[in-house]
Amino acid sequence: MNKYEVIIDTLPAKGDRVEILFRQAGDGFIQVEYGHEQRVELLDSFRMLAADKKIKDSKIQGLIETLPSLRANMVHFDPTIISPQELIDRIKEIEESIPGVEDMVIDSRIITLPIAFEDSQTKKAVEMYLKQVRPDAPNCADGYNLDYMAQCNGCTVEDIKHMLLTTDWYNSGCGFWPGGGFFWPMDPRCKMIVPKYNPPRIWTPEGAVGIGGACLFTYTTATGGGYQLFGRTIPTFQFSMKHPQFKDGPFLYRPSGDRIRFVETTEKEILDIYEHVHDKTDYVYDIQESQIVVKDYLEFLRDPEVVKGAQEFAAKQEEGSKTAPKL
Amino acid sequence: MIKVINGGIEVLTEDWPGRLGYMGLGMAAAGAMDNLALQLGNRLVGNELTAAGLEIAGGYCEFAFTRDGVIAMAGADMSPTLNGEPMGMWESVAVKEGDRLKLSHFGEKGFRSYLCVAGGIDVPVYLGSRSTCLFGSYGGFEGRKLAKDDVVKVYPTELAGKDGRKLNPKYIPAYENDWELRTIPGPNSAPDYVTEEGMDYLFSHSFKISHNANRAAYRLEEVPDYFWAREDGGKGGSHPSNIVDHGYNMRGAINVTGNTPSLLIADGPTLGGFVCVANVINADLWKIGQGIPSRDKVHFKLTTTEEAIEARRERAAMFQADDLFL
Amino acid sequence: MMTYTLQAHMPGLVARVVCEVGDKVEEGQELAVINCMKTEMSCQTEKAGVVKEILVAEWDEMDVGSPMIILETEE
Repeated sequence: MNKYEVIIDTLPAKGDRVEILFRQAGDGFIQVEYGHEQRVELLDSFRMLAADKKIKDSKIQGLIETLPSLRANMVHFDPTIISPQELIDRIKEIEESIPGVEDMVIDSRIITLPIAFEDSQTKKAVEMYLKQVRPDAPNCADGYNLDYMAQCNGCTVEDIKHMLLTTDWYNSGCGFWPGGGFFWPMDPRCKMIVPKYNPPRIWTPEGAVGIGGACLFTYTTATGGGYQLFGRTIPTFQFSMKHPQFKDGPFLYRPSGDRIRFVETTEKEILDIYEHVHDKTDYVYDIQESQIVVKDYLEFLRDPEVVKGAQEFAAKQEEGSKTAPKL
Repeated sequence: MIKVINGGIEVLTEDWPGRLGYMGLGMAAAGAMDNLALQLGNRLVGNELTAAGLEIAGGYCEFAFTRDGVIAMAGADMSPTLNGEPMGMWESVAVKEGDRLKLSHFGEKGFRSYLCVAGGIDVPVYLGSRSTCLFGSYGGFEGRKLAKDDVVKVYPTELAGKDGRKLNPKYIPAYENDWELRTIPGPNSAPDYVTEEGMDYLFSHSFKISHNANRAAYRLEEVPDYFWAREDGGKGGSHPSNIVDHGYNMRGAINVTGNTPSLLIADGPTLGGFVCVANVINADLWKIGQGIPSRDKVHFKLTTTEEAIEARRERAAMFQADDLFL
Repeated sequence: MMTYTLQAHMPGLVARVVCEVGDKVEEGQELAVINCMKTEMSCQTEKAGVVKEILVAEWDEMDVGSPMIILETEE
């Protein structure tokens, strides 16, 4: 064992659970990691979420907060109150108490968000990028990023919009920017993949919807950023907490597990909603309490039509990624 | 109340331990860059350790007091003067309505100074803290640095007996130009992400702090290519510093993007797609805040979790020591 | 004729010089910009005068007190 070894404990694989690694990460942090392989599997996140909820619910003395992501959870604690080993033992108990992921039913709200494509604010962000950062950026040729996204995926702009609107997007965890969630497509036929801006943008409008790699992000406030932009949705964050939806905190999304679903509308409608969220504070968000029944979801993934569609799209995508300019 | 005559480089309202509990929603803890100086300053003026003070980076600023009070300057010595007369560091001083406090700039050692006021700075508590997150423009005083003509409120408090305290010199922190940061490897270390030789490099080299050093991240000099134990980041990306997005061990993470390490501190990102190879222990976070951008260096000392926990306990005990003041 | 030397007030890199030799400048005018803490910091002259010599170029590393620009001044 070398002096830099950081895996301080493990929980062996069992059933559909991969080996769980406990990595030291400082005197106030432990990272709980699922398996050794860098993989992107929503099933890991479902399990992570179930464990995270139990960790939070069990009110462990000395636990400050958790940061769940797709396949790891960063646990922040006060080691003068609970020792790292005591904390690991508690988390192990919780992990042992969780059923196999196939039997899980996960609380997951469905939030419906209106979106306007090719809106003026996204156009402005792209124009600013061309002017201030990279005049020859191949991803901005049409004044938006949609053409480039279509190229990368070997499909049309209409296909890109259709995919965005068809699938539900699942939040594996919030972070990077206040209130921002990292959303993944639940329908594998809609798994677009695009490179990130290089170098990044200086400005992105509040409400911009972007994708980088296979992950979607809704910009909660105006900021820099690197995701390719689709268009603009309504506020998903409010610092001032004036609107009743934000009375307990500035966040629309929960730490993880929410699904979002987009419906197309006009820019005028979007701007109108901004006014009703931020000024008149009377917009009613469309949020349904719901659940993900993992068994049903797996059945959907195994449906021959879904499998075939996903394979066909992946083939087009491979062709597209060969011909699209690199960033 | 304090009126800003000149806001200087960067003056912010900060407290400690900052805004805990929101990292999972994308909000960093923020908080004082040098929590040791802020807390000692708070003790000098008779405040709770958690009271907010003004964090002054660089210097070049001036304040006027619009009410009688007791103040202390803690941290880097920026040659403070009160109505033109030199004022001591690490001691509590009575001020009268109309008095002017002026700071020159930081000197040979240390970069941030704290103005602590009896009663504490009165700004709205936002999500549990009075700290400013400058990176996200929220918290503290309107989410921004102070500017000329701003008037900052101070909580009213009894002033009697709070002035004339001097910190026992043995508790005045030692300032350096090559700061030793006790550091624990992880979560991404040798052998799976970084080579043993790479970690040896990390723990034996002095890294100059870049001019790109602010409250979110202190960028350091690059590590060599032999740092990496893998060819690429797999599903996380093409560079070995890439990883499937994960939460950062913030504050204190040594995060590496490409071959460039950065210390992620107060306002840093909470989550992202790059490895975190180590973490500066909680008791040494204050030193980062005193590191002068574009001049000072840092070096990392391999430390165990047990030593780090002991250092936390010693620090907590120090604030309550009988001989804290002369 | 007297001279005045504008000195850097912060450590960092010169982002740009915004005057040329021969320019007539006013007290308080920005003559250069230093990049530090990921922020652009304005370097302003404390005296009016004419730019005599520019000692720095883009990306030069400054420390507090590094000489940047020399002016010829009336007083």
